[in-house]
Amino acid sequence: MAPKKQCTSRVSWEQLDPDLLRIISKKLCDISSFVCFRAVCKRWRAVTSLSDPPPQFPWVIDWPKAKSSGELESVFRFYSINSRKTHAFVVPHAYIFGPSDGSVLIYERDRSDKECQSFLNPLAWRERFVPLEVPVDNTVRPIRLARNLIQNVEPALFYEENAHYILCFWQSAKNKWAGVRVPRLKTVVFYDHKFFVTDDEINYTRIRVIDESTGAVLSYLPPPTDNFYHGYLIATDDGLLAVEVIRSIAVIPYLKIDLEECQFEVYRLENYPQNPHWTKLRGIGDLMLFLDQQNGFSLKASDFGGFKGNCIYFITAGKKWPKRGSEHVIARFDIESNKTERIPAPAWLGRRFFERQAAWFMPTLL
Amino acid sequence: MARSSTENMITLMSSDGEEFMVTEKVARECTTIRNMLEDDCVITNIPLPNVTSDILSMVIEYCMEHVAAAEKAAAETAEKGSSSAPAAAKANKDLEEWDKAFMNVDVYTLCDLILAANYLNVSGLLDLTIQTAANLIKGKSPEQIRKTFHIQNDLSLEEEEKIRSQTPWAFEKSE
Repeated sequence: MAPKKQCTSRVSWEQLDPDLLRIISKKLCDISSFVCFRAVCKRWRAVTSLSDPPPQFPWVIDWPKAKSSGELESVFRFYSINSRKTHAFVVPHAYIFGPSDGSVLIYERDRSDKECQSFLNPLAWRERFVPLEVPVDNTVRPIRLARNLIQNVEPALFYEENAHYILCFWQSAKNKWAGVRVPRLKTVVFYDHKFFVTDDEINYTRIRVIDESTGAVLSYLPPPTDNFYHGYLIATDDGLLAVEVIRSIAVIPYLKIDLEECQFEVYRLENYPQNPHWTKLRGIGDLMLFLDQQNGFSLKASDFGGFKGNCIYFITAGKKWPKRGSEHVIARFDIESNKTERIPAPAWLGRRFFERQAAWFMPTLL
Repeated sequence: MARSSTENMITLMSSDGEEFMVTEKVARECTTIRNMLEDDCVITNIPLPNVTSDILSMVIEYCMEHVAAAEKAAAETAEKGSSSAPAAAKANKDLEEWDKAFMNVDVYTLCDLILAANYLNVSGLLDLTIQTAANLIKGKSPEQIRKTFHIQNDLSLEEEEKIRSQTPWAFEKSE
């Protein structure tokens, strides 16, 4: 009979099959772990590529705090829920408007003679200048278009021009910026090669469907509910979703946060475009939705070991009573149990006196 | 449901010649073996030259546990007409706990289990072992990962320096 145990043929970890190493790397849903994985040895580096990173669980970005002199700090911070780590980046002399997926829209004063706006990816330290002459006091707002749900590296923004908004987005396929004139809007989402836009009027909400290239209004959709002003539109692989925030806690500052009060309703657009209508959903299966003050997007829980689907992750701010300043809360609403759970957040989050809220940020190395 | 005595038994033979008698149902958890059985239904003895006896016994232990859990769930459904959600949730949780305890192995055994799960195509075990490996990597510096997995650093100083300078933030300690 052969010897009972044979342990000499053991394969070492650095020699593991490239496909298996790649599968392991795909489970590293925090980008810093992926970077460290790639710095272990030659083989582990060779089997992975920066352009094919694992699906990333979003980070939270917060804006610089005001110093006692009234000046802004030049540090902005990211928090990873997944690794519970904080990453800080220093961008001197820059004003930060906010994130659009993997980039942050900044306005720089001192780096060159000319004032300029650009999208900076602080992780790769790559900057993409916005070829716009938009006055700085304009409401330039970075937005998330979710053209490609996980690997979105196409920044987008809008700004005001007369009574309209100009929606600008980077088209990587054509390697250029594109702009579309749209009506004043509250939220916008990119779905089925069209923009779905809700009007910025509190008493009258309808959804316009706008052609991607011409900006022409193709059709109008009814809102899922009569009072959809604070709602979100979210493109997913399973269709276009609308999320209604019941007893709006997410958008009004100076409100004390009561997580017991949080309620969300999710609708899906059915029979589009023949006979479009919204159907209320009892659950969203494997999907996780992410909401902040301005944007909503979705990811699949099965891409992230240890995260639950059928949930809504949101960031909200309220007054830090009786002290000054705002309190930020990251929380998860479980659709099945109808309960909200607070997610541990770092102490630095939201400790400042102006009212912009922290937001979700999708880290990327490109 | 009592196990039928007429259930087909299959003999699996490890690379070091040890024989393991398992029910066909357990063997079928391995897609590689299931395919062999479907190609040739009279086969009763399967040599597995890529799997050592210590690893094969662990793979079988995993398959037996998961087959038993599935049978138990099926029996409960048959008995009550439908499965009760709380009971199913508890059974799932118990199985998760069992998986977690099962993964309490050293990194060499983990590597062998990944290779065996991949070769025998046991998708549940492959997912479990891959996730366990990923969890061991998460939050560690490259040096800590090398130490955990006993990996030689074959990068030159210049290469390491270049990697660090591209994304310095990833190698910094958290605030």
